[in-house]
Amino acid sequence: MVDFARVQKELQECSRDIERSGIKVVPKSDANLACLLGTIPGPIGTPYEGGTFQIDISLPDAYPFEPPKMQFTTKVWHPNISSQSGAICLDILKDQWSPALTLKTALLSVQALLSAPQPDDPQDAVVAQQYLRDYQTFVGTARYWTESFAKSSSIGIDEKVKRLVEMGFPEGRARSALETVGGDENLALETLCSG
Amino acid sequence: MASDAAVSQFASFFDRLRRDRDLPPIIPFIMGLAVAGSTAGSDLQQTDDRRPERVNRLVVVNRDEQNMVVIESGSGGIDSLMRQLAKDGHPPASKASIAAMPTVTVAESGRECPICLDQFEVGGEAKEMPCSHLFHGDCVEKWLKVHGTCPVCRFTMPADEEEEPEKKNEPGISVSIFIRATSEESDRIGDSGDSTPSEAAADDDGDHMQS
Ligand SMILES: [Zn+2]
Ligand SMILES: [Zn+2]
Repeated sequence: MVDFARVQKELQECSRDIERSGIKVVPKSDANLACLLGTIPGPIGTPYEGGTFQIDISLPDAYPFEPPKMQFTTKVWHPNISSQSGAICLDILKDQWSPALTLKTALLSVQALLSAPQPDDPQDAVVAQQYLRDYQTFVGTARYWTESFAKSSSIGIDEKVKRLVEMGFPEGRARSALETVGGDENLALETLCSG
Repeated sequence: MASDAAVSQFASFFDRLRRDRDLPPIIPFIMGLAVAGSTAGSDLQQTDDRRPERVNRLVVVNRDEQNMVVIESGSGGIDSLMRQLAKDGHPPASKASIAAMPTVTVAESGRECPICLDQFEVGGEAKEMPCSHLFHGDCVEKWLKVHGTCPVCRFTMPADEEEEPEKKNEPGISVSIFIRATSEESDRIGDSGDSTPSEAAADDDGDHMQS
C-alpha cells in the first residue's frame, strides 16, 4: 500500500516551493494519488532551455521503500532518455533509490540529468553515439526537439518549415537548417541564404 | 495462467533482479516464465526436453528492443535463485545490527522522520543509526530489512553472513541474452543456436508488470 499520507505531504511541500524550484507535481486525478504528473523546466544554458518537460509518475505499492516509476511524456533528445519511449536511465530511480528521496528531489535529479548527460551509460544508444561523435549536431537536434515538443506556446516547427518553403527554399533544406540552429527561424533563414 | 501470488512474487523478484544484477533498465516486463516442477508454471509450455526436471528458468522479453534475457538456476527452487541473485548489490542489514540501534528520545521540536516525513513527537522515541541519523523504529527497520544502508547518508550496516552449506553443490545461474531480429508475436522463442534452450509462454503475463 502506497504511503498516501507521505505523498500528500510531498505534494504540499512541492507546491510551497514551486516558485524557487520550478518543479511541479500534481495527481492525474484526485481519486488516485499513485498516478501523478511531474513538470520540470529545461535547465538554463542547455539545449533544453525554454522547454517544459512532462514526466509521467506512478508510485509502486511499496513507495517510498521502492522508487517511483518515471517516464518522460514530452519527447526529448538526450543520451539517457529513450527518444522513443521516454524511459529514463538514472540510478536513483533504480538501485540507488532511498526512501529519504522525494518526488521533488527525484525530479530535480532528472533535471540535473538534462544538464549533465552520461553518454557512457546510455538509455538511447543512437543519441549517445551522436553526443560522443558529433556534439554540435547533438546540440542542434536536442534544441530542435525542445523547440518542437517542449514549447507549447511557440509556433510548431512545421509552420516554420512551411514559411521557409513559401520563401522558395526546398523543404528538406529548410527543415535541416531549422534543425541545425535549434528551430530559430531567423538563424535558419541566414543559414539558407548563406549556403 | 500463473496465480496472482506467483505473479507478484515474480514482480518483486524482477525488481530485485534489476537492482542487484545491474541489468540494463530496458527490460520492461516479463513476458513469460517457466518453472519446471512448480505449480506456478503448470500451464506454461515446456519446449525443451533435454533439460533435467529441476530447472528454474525465467524468461524476460523486451518487445521494443527485441531482445530477451533467460535466467536459469540449476536446482533448489526460486528462493535459492533469488538468494543467489541477492548476493550482489546491497544486502539487508543483519538482524543483530538492527537490534543494536539505540532508542533515543527526541528533544527538539520540528524534526521529521526522513522516511514517512512525519514530525517526531517531542519526548518521543526514535531509533538512531550508527551514523547518528534518526528515524521511527518501524520506518527504518522496514528499509534495513531490504537495504542495509542509511536512507540519508548511505552509511552501510553490517550484513548477515550467508549460511548455505549446500550452496557449493548448486550449479550457478546462467544468463543468456538473445537478440531477435523480428518482432512477430511468437509465443515461442526457440532455437538460440547454442546449448542454452529458451522458452516463453503466456503472452499476456507482461501486463501484470504495468501496475
Ligand atoms: Zn517515520
Ligand atoms: Zn545516515
